[in-house]
Formats: sequence, C-alpha cells, structure tokens
Amino acid sequence: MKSSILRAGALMIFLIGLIVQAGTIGAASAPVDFQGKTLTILISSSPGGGTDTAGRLISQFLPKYLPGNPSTVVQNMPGGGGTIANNHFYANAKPDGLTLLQDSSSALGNFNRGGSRIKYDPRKNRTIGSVARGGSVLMVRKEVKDMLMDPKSRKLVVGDTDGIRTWVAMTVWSAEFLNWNLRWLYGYKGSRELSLAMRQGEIDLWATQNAKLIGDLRKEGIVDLVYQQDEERRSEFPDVPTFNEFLGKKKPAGVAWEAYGAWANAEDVDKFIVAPAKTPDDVVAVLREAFGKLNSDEEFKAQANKFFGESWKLNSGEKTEAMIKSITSVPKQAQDYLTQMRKKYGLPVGAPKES
Amino acid sequence: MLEAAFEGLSQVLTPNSLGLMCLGVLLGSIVGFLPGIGGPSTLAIMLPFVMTMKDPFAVIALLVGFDAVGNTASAFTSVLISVPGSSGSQATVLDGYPLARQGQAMRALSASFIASLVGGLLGPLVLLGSLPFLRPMVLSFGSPEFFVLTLWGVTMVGVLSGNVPLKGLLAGILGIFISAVGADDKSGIERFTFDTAYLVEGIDLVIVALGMFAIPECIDLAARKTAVAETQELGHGFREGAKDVFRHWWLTLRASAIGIWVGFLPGLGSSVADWFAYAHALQTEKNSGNFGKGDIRGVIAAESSNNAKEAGDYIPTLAFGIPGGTSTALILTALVAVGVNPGPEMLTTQLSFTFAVIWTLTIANIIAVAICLLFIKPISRMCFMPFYSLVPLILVFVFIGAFASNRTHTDLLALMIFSLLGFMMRRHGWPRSPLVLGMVLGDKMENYLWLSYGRFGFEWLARPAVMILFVLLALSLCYPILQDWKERKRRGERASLDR
Repeated sequence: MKSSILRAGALMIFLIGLIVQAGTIGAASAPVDFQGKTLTILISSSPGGGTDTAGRLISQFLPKYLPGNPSTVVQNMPGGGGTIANNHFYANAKPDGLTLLQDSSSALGNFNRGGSRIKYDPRKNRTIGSVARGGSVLMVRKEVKDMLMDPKSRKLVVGDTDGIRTWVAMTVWSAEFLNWNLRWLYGYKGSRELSLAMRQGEIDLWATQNAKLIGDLRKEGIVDLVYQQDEERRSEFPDVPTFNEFLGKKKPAGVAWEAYGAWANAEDVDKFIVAPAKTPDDVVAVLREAFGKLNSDEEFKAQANKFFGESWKLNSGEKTEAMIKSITSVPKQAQDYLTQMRKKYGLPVGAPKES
Repeated sequence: MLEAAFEGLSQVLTPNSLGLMCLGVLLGSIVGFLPGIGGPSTLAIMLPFVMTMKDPFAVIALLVGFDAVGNTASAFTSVLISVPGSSGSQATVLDGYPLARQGQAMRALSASFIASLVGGLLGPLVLLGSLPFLRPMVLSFGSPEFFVLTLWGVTMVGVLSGNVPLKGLLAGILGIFISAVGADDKSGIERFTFDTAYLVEGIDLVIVALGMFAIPECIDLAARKTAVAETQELGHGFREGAKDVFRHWWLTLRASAIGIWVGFLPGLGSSVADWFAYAHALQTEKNSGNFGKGDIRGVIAAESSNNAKEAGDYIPTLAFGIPGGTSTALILTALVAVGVNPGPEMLTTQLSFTFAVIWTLTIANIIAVAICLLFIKPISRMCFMPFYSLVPLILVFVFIGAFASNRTHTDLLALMIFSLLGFMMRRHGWPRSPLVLGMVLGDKMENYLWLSYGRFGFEWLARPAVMILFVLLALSLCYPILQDWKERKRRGERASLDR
C-alpha cells in the first residue's frame, strides 16, 4: 500500500513538471498576429453588473475584428470598487495585448481619492475604448419619500456596493446643500442585491444606469424617480430632471462644485477597456481599430440595446484616454474638500491612516 | 411562465446543449458506476474547463445532467459486488446484494433503475411546484435572515456530514477562514495575504475542491487496488423488477418525497437520503422481516430517494444562492461564472434558466435509465474490471484543470497543499464537505452580517424570522448531542442489565 502511495506521489510530481514546462514555453512568444492566441479579459467587478456585461459583450465581439480571431477568456476579479483588479493588472499584466482590463469609472474615482491601497495609475494604461451608458437615475421608495426632508424622522438609507460609485456624489451633495436626511449603507454585491433590498425596504434610495431595472421598479409602483446624473435628460426618462436642474439656485459654486465634478464626472467614461502600460503602439492601434468597428456591428448594437437601454455610445480609445487624463487631474483643494465631505457623511475615505 | 418553460426546453434541446447533456449523463453514469470516484471530485475536475464556456444553457445541460444521474448507475456495483458506486447507493447494498446472491440480480437492477426514474422525475416536478412559493419567500428574506441561513447551512453540514460533529464544525470554520483570505470586497483591505500577490485574489475554490476531493480519492483508489475476482450470475427477473416498483408505488412515492426533503435541507447529502428512506421503509412497511436479506422494497426505497434528492438540492441553490451540498456548491460556482445569478431573478428574468435546470433533471434521468436498462448486461460485466488503472488518467485531468483555471504555477503548489490537507482529513476521519461549503458561504455570511448590522444595528436579532431560524440552528446543533445522550443512556441501561 505504501509503495502505491509513493508511486502516485511520483506521478504527481512528474505531471507538475510537465505542466510547468508547458507553461513557460507558452508564455515566451510575442503576438504578431492573434492567430491561435487567447485574449484574457479581466473584469474589475463581479459577474452580473454593468462592468461585467460590457466586458462580456466586448469579449464576444472584439475577436471578430482582430487579425487571427483569438479565443477569449473572461475572468472576474471583483473587490474594492475595482482596486483589486487594477492593482493586479498594473503590477502583473504583460504588455503584449493578450491581457486587457475591463474597468469602470469607479477606478478613476478611487485613484482621485488616493491612498495607500491604490497601487495603479490609470493614466499610464493604454485605453482601447469605452462604452458609456446613460446617466444614473436616483430612485426613492414611495413609502418614505416624504421623510427625505424631515429632520425628525429616521435617516433614509442610500444603498450602494462600495460607497464610491459616481452617482453617490449626488446624494452626498443633496445632503449637504439640500438638507436631505440620509445615511449610507454600502457592501451590497451588485445591482441584483440592491434592487432586492429596495423591494424589501432594507434601503430607501438607490441609483442605477440600468433602464430596465429602473423601469421594473417604477412599474411595480415601488419607487419614484428623483433626478438623473447626465447633463441632458435620457431619452428613456424625459420626465425626470437632471441633477443640475434639480439643484437650481442651490447649486454650489467654486471648490465645492469642482470637488463634485472630481467624483461624479468619471461617469462620462463609464466602462472603459484598457491594455497594460507600455503595450506597443502597433498592438494598441490594432485593438483600437477593432473596437471602433463594433460601432457598425448590428448584432453588437442589438445586444447592447438589450442590456444598456438605448442611451449608450462607444467612445474611441483616443477620446477616452483624453477624458481619463482630465478626470484624474484634480486640484489639491478640490481633493481635500472631497475627502472632507466623505468623512462627514461616514463614507470610506481613500487614504486612511493604517496605524 | 409557459413562455419561459418553453424557452428553457428549446435551449436545452439545441444540438449543442443536448450533446453536452448526453456527455454529462454519460460521465455522471461512469462516475456513479465507478466506486471510489465521487461526483464532487469529478465536478471539481470539470469546473475550470466549464467556466470558460459562454452559453449558460450548455453549462446547465452539462453539469446538471452530470449531477442528476450520479446515483443511477451506482446501483450496478452495489447490487453485483456489494460496493456502492456512489455514496448515495449505500443502502442499496443491504437488500440488493442478497438478491443478487439469490440469483435475482436482474430483478434488483431493473427495480432500482425504474425506482431511480420515478424519483428522478418526481424531484423536478416538486421543484416546479415550489416555484410560486419561492418568490414571496425570497422577498421576505432580508440580509439578517440570509445571514442566519448561511450560518445554518454551514452548521448543518458540519454537524451532519461526519461521525464527529465537532470535527465537522471545525472543518466548516476552517472553510470560512479560507474564504476570508484576500482583499476585502468592500474596502480593498488585504487580509492574510502576507504581501504575496497570489493571495490577494483569495484562494480559488476550484483548487480547494480538487485538493479536498480529487487527489485523496485517487490515492485511495490506487492504494486499495480492488479487483473483484468472483463473477456473479445476473440471473433473471428483469420484468419482475419493473413490476415491483409499481406494486410498491406508495413506498416509491414516499421514498422520493423523503429524498426531495433531504435535498432541500442544507447539509444532508445523498449519502443520507438513501438511509433515511431505507429506515422509513423498514419502520412503516408490513412484513419487514425479510429486510436486509433480499427484500426488493429496500432497493426501491433507497434508489428512488437518492435520485429525487438531487432536484431538492436545487431549490435553495437557485432561489437563495445557498447550495445544499458539495456538488451544488460547485455547480453554483460554475453557473455564476457563466452569468446565471441565483436569487429572486431565477423566478423572474432568469426563469428560463430555472426551467432549463428542471428540464435537464428530467431528461437526464430518462437518458441515464435508458442507458442502464439497454446495456444492463455489458455494464454488469464491467463491474469485474480493475478500476485503479484509471488513476493516472484522472490525475492528469486534475493537474491540467488546476493549471487551466488561472494559469499560474502557484496554483499547482496550492493544489499540493490542499491535497495533503484533504488526504490527512480523509485519513483521520475529518469530513471535507463542510470545508468546501464554509468556503462558498463564508464570504456571503460576512457580507450579510455587515449589512444587517449596518442597517439595523443590533435590532436585526429581534426580527421574528431571524429568531425562528436561530431556534432551528440551535436544534440542529443540539441534535447530535441528544443522539449521543440517548445512545449512552441505552448503553448504560444495557450495562446495568448485564450486571
């Protein structure tokens, strides 16, 4: 019996050797063409959400327009509002065009807030393009709507995944400048859990870009729509004011508004896909070109309409890269104001003293 | 609803899905047939490959098809050589083997397959019937209730899956600890990572499952080297066996119901379902004197329950995302990876996925039983071949699977470490299922606790549903202690009588 175990052990060691060998040989070659290669798309969130949907959609259609039509592998790496995936990608991804990161605007917000956990620089990655959906629409449960401005009632609960989504900025600024009576509860896994929590009354306010989820909750008579994030009203929600319109004369000016922009404007790039820093220009060009072709792919458009509603658009890699640069250059004053506001309202702050 | 049912069916019947389902059924039957290689270990090997697939219906067809039939072909070895092919067919041996020795192997086998079919068809039917009740149930469950539910799941599996409840609980807690390794989802804070990049992502369930189940079972198989020499006559009674099932239809129904209930409760695996059903038959059937000596009713009870159990398992898995056992825990991981989101959506927008599961359970059971009945003779002959020669082949798949999921060499090192842990646990009688389930549920448990406290403070403890669940949890914790106490008391009485 013992010798059998020994033999099984020896076999195991032999097999490991074999696989290690195969692994090193496979990794050594560089892509001139994607023929026979596998394109790995890392997704910075858990399966099921908007980032995941965008990543999977792109992984399904992008290879069609890449020379050699590579096969694709999608890998989710959720956590810390994209921090975990971004740190990993920034430190480990090889700049050979075979590993891409499907990222979301939260990663830019996190970077702006800074802190010891941010070990990546989104400005150095090579942007392939972005899918920008219509802005988030804030919903409030009908039952508790009247308590919003009532300082004597309980604080209404804003639900979120990590407390750093761009739309959360609107609620924080509403608390500060419109005297809304709010507190924030983050930690929900994704929009599924959040819409369930809205139905159950575990949370009172929530915003999402997903027109279908909003439509469902509205149809069931559970929520009223308060305001939306974009500069212009979305075609699906012509009756809902924009945040700007809603604020009216109460809209703050100066550093307070600059700080709001530093948090909220990242939404413009929404779901962007990047190659690692130092990816050769020719590889980036090929990827960007393929991404651009999605814009005229009818099947892609039909699928995107299904998932994102009608108000989505594709931004080219060049344009997205420029937007990322502008979003990530926040003046120190605005940054400090932002941190202050987050602390005041009990939201996670980017640079905690880890003592 | 009808539309979703139809879509589920048509998606499962596409050539691709149907082909994969047949593959799943074939694999499931082979694994069920081979003693020593269990469903969880094979699922663990399949997982990394399946997770790269894109079509969720294909994945459902393959994995659910595989899982549904694991307890059908296992009757061959139980009846013919007295070695249960899977843990769900242990009770089948009690009466199946004596029947075979009486020259009625054919009768026992055909009865067991028809009973399997009945159980396997009733299970999905009950799953279907439970759908309308699941939605209100899910909606009334908030984070606090889900927290206690996850806690209950790990506790039940811990207490019930081994002989020593304390060991099971500790294994479950170890699983929860392992799930805590890596960066925290909410804040990105790194826990137990010791500044190694590998641990930041957390430990991959695939690696742990392979280490816990696949490798230890391979070692065991290779070490045991069982080759059964004596050939058994198949005998007669093929038709008689089929008739037996219908003659005892009421027992078949009750045993199936027991199986479904056992599947629905978290923690009670198929290794329990057949025993429960067998015990129930023994207690309630008339003229039970022949049980254990070759009573066909023993075979029928065991085999109808273990197939029905699989469908019951899917009720909490699909509705709450809380799997009832190891196999469904692994299938859940694969389903999530391909975009199926267990929870209330399974009853609304993803209803077609739910129906795909129901259809697959149904069709897979029919295919499996058809294979077993059609090839009853050639498969029976295969019972007398040496199984251990398959070990090298399985090992190759284990290591390729471990490497394929992330393509890092560190995974292989982690696999070795968990294999050693799994082997030691098996050797020293520590149940391994609680560890895997603890790992699957640990993350959810933490999240629900955080949300419960964040939303309600300590008031969540006072919610009625939470209190009821806590009472159930306490009862399942006390159950083994009570059993132990009864046992001791009985022994004490006997000892005093002896004196």
